[in-house]
This record gives sequence, C-alpha cells and structure tokens, in this order.
Amino acid sequence: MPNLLLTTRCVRSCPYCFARREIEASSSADSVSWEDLIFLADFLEASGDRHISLLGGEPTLHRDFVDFVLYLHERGFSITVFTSGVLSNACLCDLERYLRAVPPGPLSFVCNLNDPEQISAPPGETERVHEFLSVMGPWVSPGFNIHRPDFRLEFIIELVARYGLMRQLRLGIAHPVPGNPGTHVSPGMVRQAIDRLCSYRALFERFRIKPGLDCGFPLCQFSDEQLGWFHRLTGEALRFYCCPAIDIAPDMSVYSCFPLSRFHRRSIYEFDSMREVLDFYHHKNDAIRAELAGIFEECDGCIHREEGVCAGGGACHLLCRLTDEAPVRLPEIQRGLSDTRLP
Amino acid sequence: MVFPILVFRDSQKVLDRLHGHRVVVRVDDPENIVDAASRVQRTGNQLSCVICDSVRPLSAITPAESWAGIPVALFVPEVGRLRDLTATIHRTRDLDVHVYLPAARPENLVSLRILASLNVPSCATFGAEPPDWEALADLMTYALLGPIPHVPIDPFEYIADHYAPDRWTQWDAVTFSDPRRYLHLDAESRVALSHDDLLAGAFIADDLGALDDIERHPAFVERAGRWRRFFAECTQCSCCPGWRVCQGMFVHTVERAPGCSAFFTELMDVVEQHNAKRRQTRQPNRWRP
Repeated sequence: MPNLLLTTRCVRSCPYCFARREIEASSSADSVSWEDLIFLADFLEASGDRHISLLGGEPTLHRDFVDFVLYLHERGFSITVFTSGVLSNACLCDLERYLRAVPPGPLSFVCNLNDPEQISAPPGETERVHEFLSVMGPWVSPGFNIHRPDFRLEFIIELVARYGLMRQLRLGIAHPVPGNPGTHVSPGMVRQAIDRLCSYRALFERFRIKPGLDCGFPLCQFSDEQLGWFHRLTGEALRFYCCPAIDIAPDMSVYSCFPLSRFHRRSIYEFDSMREVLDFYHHKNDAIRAELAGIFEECDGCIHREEGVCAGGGACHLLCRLTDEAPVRLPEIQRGLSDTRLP
Repeated sequence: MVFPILVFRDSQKVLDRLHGHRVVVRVDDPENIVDAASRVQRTGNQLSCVICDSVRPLSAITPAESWAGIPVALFVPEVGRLRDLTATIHRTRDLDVHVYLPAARPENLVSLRILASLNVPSCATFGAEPPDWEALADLMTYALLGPIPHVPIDPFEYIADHYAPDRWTQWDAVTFSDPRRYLHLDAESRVALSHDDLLAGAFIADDLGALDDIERHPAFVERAGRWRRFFAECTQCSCCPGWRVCQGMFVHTVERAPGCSAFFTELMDVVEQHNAKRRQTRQPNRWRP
C-alpha cells in the first residue's frame, strides 16, 4: 500500500513534521499530474495492489483532489486520505457533494489532529477542522503524532464522540529525519510516552476507541500489563514494526518513508512492480540494521528482535546515529549515506 | 468492393429513398439517438451506427438505457469534469458508445487516457489545428504499450489493427472519412466523398442511382490517387518516413507544427512492438467503427 504525495504544499507548520524537508525542497508547483496518477494506478493494478494512500503536504490542496479520488474509486481502488482537516470552503463543499457518495471503506480519511493547547494554530484553523469532521465524520479516523511525553488525548476523544468518527485512533511517534532531526521522540522518551498513552486506558475503554500503533514503537518499552491491555482492547496482534512505507513524491521519485526520503531515493519508473520496490527498500533497511540492531543497546541479542516480533525501533533513528558516527562501516551504507546530503 | 455505408443526417425523406443499405445516421441531440435508430429499422435498412455530434461535454450527456444495442459514435468537444461523469460512466461503459474528442485541445489528450483506463472506448479526431505532438505520442504509447489491458484508443488501435510494414495504412474509416467505406448524403440525397466535402457542397452525384459502379467514378478515382500530388509537387510529406501512415494528412500544419513526422515515425515503431506482443485480453464483441 504505497503513499502518493499529491502535492508538497501544506497549510500547517507542525513542529514535529518529518515531511518538512521534502516540502521545503519542493517547488510550490509540484503536484501529481493525471498522466502520473494513471501510470501509478496501472502500476499498482499490474502489481495486484488495490489500495493507495493519498498524502501531501495537504492532499486536498491539489486542484484535482476530488476527481483523483473518484477516478481511483471508479477503478476499484480503496483510498485512504491523510489530511490535516484544514480545507477551504469550496473543497469542503466538493467533499460533501461528491465524496460522501463513496461509502466508508473504499474511502477513508485519517485526520491528523494537533492539540490546540500544545500547538498553537492560526485563528479559525480549529473551526475548519471541526467543519471537516462534521461533514466527513463517519469516513474519518483520528490520527495523532506523539512528539512530547506530556501529550493529551482528551480533545480527540471529544471529537470522536461529537462527530461520530471511526473509533480507531492512529498513533504515531514523531521520528527524526537524518541530518535534520527536528522535534521528535528520542528513544529515552518512548517509555514515558507509552505510560502516558496507557494512562488514557479508562477513556479508551469508555468510548470504545481502539488505539492503533504506527511504526517504530519498540516492544520492550511496554510492560506485560500494558501489552495485555492493548491486546484485549484491540483484539488484534500488536506489531512493533518498521518497514518501508513506500512514499511516492509528485515527481514520481520514491523512497522508503518520509524520514528516509534522502536515503536511496529512486524513480518509480526504475521498477516493474511494487514487489520490486518493496524488496529494494527492505534490502536497504536491512543494510542499516546490519550495522545497528536497534535503537537501544539491548536490541543487539534481543530474542524478540531476532524472531521478528519487534523491529527494534525506527530505522530513521539508526540512520541518524550512523550519520553522526564515523567511520561508517559498510560501503553499502556509505553509498546510502552519500545520498542523505547532510548539512 | 462492397458498396460503402451511407452516412446522412437523420431524415425520413432520405431513408424513404433507400432500401437494404447499410447506413449511419447523424443526430445533434443525444435524445434523438433512439428515434433515429428506430427509423432506420422501420425502412428496411441496416443500421451501422448513430453519430451524435454534440456540443455538450460528455459529462453533460446521460446515456439512456434504451441505447442498448445501438452502436453510438459520440462526438463531443470535451469530457468535462470527472466528478460529473462518474454518475453515468458505468452506463457509458456498458453501452456500445465510442467517444470522439478533438486532439487539438490538450486536456482532451488526458481525457482520452482517463476514458481508456476506465474502459470507455474513445478516439482522437484531427482538424485544422495541430495537436501537441509530444503529448499525442505519450498518449499513443500509453494506448498501445500500456502496462495493463484497457479498451482501445483510436486511431492508434485501429492503425495497429490494420498496419502492415510493406504497405500503406489507411485509417480514415475510423472517423467515417474513407470513401471506400463511407459515402455521405445530404438532405437531397446528393453524394459526397466525405463529411467535409458535404459541408463544402462538393458533391460527386445528385443521387445514388448515378453510382452503380463507384470504383470507376472519376471523383472516386481522383480521390484514390490524390497521394500522387505529394510526389509530383515534392512536398515535405513525400520524403517523410511517416508517410506510410499519415499520407500527408497534416500537410497544412507541418510548417507551424512540424512534430507530425517524428510522431508518425514513432507510431510505426510502437505499433510494431504492440503487434509483436499483442494482448490476448482484448474485448471480443465490442462495436468499433
């Protein structure tokens, strides 16, 4: 399931944004063309993949956003849109008129929500998010990026209840970008963040909201009780993974994920299938992990990491360490690092 | 030679003078397609298809279920917004509708690709204005060498179907302009070799009765040998490698838009690749002009 960046323009300036370097390096005119969208849909279809995520920047800023979604739906793709929820009135009208006709399931939104008390927003932005949620609520899962250990989730739970959002909270950790770490959760802060998350246990249960963990959470930072609670609440196998997300930029360049956007960046036209793309980036990520097992010293020799239950944290953390350490050992890694364009 | 199919604007008067002919009727309004088809059936003629010359975009046309069984060549100026098309596109796809779009409008080259990928057969048409040849080459490559099967985009698919490396490939028929396959009648049943000739009042006969042996008709013979002029006058086209497919069709625009030569040369190369690995998944029983 690749992520297609429809445009690099964004309406927000989140302190933890790991796409910032991508956005700053892009021209404001960068946006996906119809030809490239059709190419990509063909590419995915030929690969047997029928799901695509649309990202930005803010994907709804693309002038053909609604038409792109309808086109992909018409071709039988299921679509997930990652949005800030900050939409113009015109765009919101289009969503109400055209996209509400597509049932939730084939189309869903993940609305990345910022705590208005912890991240200041321009006047009117919060109201705009609420308008979006009031229109598309049943299609929307809330998303939240943990970027400090004292985060709050009450406001999200209130939004879920008020606007009838999907009761699945997508939780991500703010990751560092090699060469430009920015605001992120360091390995030493992860346990605090998990404890904080689990302190919301009663609210999650009361409102029947399932927390879903995004990539980079290390297994060892959860207590057995916390793991048991997660498992009972979600009913799903927990994954402590870090694998290539496969992001495709408006210029059709491809990379493993935002934080690794300068690491072995290629063009999608160099590959014949998504399998090839995934294999390529799995191989590159494995090369990083051959150098450093995980984000903690204990990852080296950890049975859970060796058994593949836990990835040992995000590869972006490892690459950050490798960029700060000299000498770098593997020539393969060196070649990769030469593409990171450190400051 | 089989007697050509007769093309004329929907008219009871013209139909009453015909019997047992294969005919194409033209209408302006999609609302009249079913009536026009019915009239042909009632007069004992055989309907080849209905041409609808609409001034509305495709998205503003709602195909009716009653079009079922009627081959329709739908000439529209543009597709319009996809969001307005999605409500009806499934029906367009299920009917025998072939959408024609002018290639000179850049947005139509994108629309042709969209339609094909959504399984709506289509065709690019050419007029006085030249297309963006590079964008057309991209479309042609997509049409013939796309990674997954999709419905045809003409004239590329038509050219590929009829292409032979050792002779000319004539593809006028895909736009009803080949006099060996289509003759055009006006309201008085006067005969022209093409729709353009008809609009210009260039008739070759006052009625079909004068055309028993059309192959020997001087105008027909002259049209069939028109290619000789390019060599007699030694135009750019006569020494162009793309001649075998274009046959001077763009001689009037080659000065200001000279990309046609490279386009047709590339077209022949792509067609040969396409034919070498012709897909096995083509839809078999779909009507095509």
